[in-house]
Amino acid sequence: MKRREALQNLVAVTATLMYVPSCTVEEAIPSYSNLPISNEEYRLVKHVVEAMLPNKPKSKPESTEDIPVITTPESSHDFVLTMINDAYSPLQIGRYARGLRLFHQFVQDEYKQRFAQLNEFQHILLFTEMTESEAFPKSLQFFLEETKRLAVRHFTSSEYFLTQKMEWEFIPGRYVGCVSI
Amino acid sequence: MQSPENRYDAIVIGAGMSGGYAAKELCDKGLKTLLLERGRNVEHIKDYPTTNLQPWELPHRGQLTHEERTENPIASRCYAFREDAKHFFVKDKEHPYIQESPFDWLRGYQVGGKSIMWARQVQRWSDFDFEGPARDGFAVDWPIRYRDLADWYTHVEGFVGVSGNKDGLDTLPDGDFLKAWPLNCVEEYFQQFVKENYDDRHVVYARCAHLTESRPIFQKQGRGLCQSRHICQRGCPYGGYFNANSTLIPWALNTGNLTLRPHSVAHSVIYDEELGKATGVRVVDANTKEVTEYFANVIFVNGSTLNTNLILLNSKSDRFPNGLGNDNGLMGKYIAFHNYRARISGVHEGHPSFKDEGRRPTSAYFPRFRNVYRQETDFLRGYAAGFGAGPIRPVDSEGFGATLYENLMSTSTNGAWRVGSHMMGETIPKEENRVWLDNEATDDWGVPLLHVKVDYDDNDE
Repeated sequence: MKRREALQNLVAVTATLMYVPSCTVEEAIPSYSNLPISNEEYRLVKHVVEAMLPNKPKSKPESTEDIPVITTPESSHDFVLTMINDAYSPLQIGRYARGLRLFHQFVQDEYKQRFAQLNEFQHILLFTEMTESEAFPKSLQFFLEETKRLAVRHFTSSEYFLTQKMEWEFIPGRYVGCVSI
Repeated sequence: MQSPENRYDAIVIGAGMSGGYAAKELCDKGLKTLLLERGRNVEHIKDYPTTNLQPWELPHRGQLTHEERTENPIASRCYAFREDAKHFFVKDKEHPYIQESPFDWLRGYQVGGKSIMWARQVQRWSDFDFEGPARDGFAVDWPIRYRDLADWYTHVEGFVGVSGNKDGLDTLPDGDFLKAWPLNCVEEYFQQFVKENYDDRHVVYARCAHLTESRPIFQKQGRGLCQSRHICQRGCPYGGYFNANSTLIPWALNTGNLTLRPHSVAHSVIYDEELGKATGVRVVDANTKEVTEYFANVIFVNGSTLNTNLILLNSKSDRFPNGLGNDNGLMGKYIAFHNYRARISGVHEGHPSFKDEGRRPTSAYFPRFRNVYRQETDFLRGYAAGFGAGPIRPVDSEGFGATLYENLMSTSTNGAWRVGSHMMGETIPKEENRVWLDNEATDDWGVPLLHVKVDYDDNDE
């Protein structure tokens, strides 16, 4: 299968891949002492997280509902990378970094474009295919699964989600044991 | 060498739960009291750095870093050793000990000790607990009975504040309680089921050291009401639960009789061979390692169970070569603990149109029901159990993109409840469960390292 061959080549190439330097003007990115990534890789993670879990709904021109505003102390991609850097073992971090680079390379090879240049449909297709098919390297799947897991954690620990969806209060001042739904 | 500034009426070693209380009582009686604490001071409210952090303000959302987990395998065994309270736990490397068998020695070396992070559950012992050893023959008879302690329970509970219901059970004596939070519908359902099916088993509200009502004594202490935040392990800005920092230390300081000396490691109790009495405490400054001796007529050792044994074993003299008061060689032996190993959980689907609201810092409790009136089983003693239920709000994280967003936003209660219980089993005191001092190895302050050999046995299984 053409894709399988491409993947095998990809793995061989990526095994010796160096950091891909970026030509654009770079804003300072946070430093992750255990997970050294380039500016371009950082931006890739940012785009992946935003595509995986947007923090606002698809806009519906006919809808008059208020759009929930989900604000958090840090961006979702910064949370993802901080957690990988701080809470994961060196082995897992290595796996994540390999998966990130494999992902980058695969998108380049398959679409001849960067991930950010693809459309929403292509993003979802990529995520779904890569996480469901056994043809893809485990580290690549690990990169996507952990990114999703952490993006979901970031989302579900936000003030909006906790207070509006989990009915959570910081200072309840009461306990009512039996409330009709 | 004694000098006026090193002389007190009383010295208390350890500014935790019991040391704080001893110091308070001694100060109330007018004794100039020196309260020694090996760790740093933790001033009520001022030194609770995480107490007002919202969940999203914790950088790792409560999780420890990989380094924290791997460097602290012992502390990591504690449910409360997480991002919001890790600064109150002793780190494994800083205070090593020798595990002859695996033993999770969890410690809090600061003013307040573990009274900052404790679970605040306070159930009284009954006569069945005091009479058990004599009846079943597994240990020496208690020299006291419940009636000897009853007034003292009341005395302490009145000062610290205990929330509970008067349940009228002979296995769980009542006190003068502050009002209780309610049990929820599923807990009440279970309680009713147990009542209908068993004569000798009961589900009750778990009595806890929280202020649910105001009384003059609490106002005098400067404490407010518990607000049900249930993040007690961080320290409470309201003084809503009982700890030494909010309730005991400020009170003792207000008497004008307390000298609190943090960063003071107690090396040993000084014994005067001529007088035939303990006369003081040898203290190593935690920071400078300088040794100072303090003197008093009354000395309390409240360094927590194992450390108290350690200090007394290390208090050697010609009269007491094996440790102060250790003529019979029993010191450090017969360590008993709680068997916390059994847990069960499940899903209850019987109350789909109900949920709860708010939070509580306690739940429900099963007083011990095995071998209470007579020996009935092939194991000795028994166990109490915590019990609790709560509605499930499942989070659907299927899909990617807009689909994932919509799925997450559809979260709500689904009608099912999770139910759980954990056992607290009594262990039999045995001579072979013991601690002893190493002959050579010491910690950074010259105090011998402690060997700990404490095991489960067939009775625990």
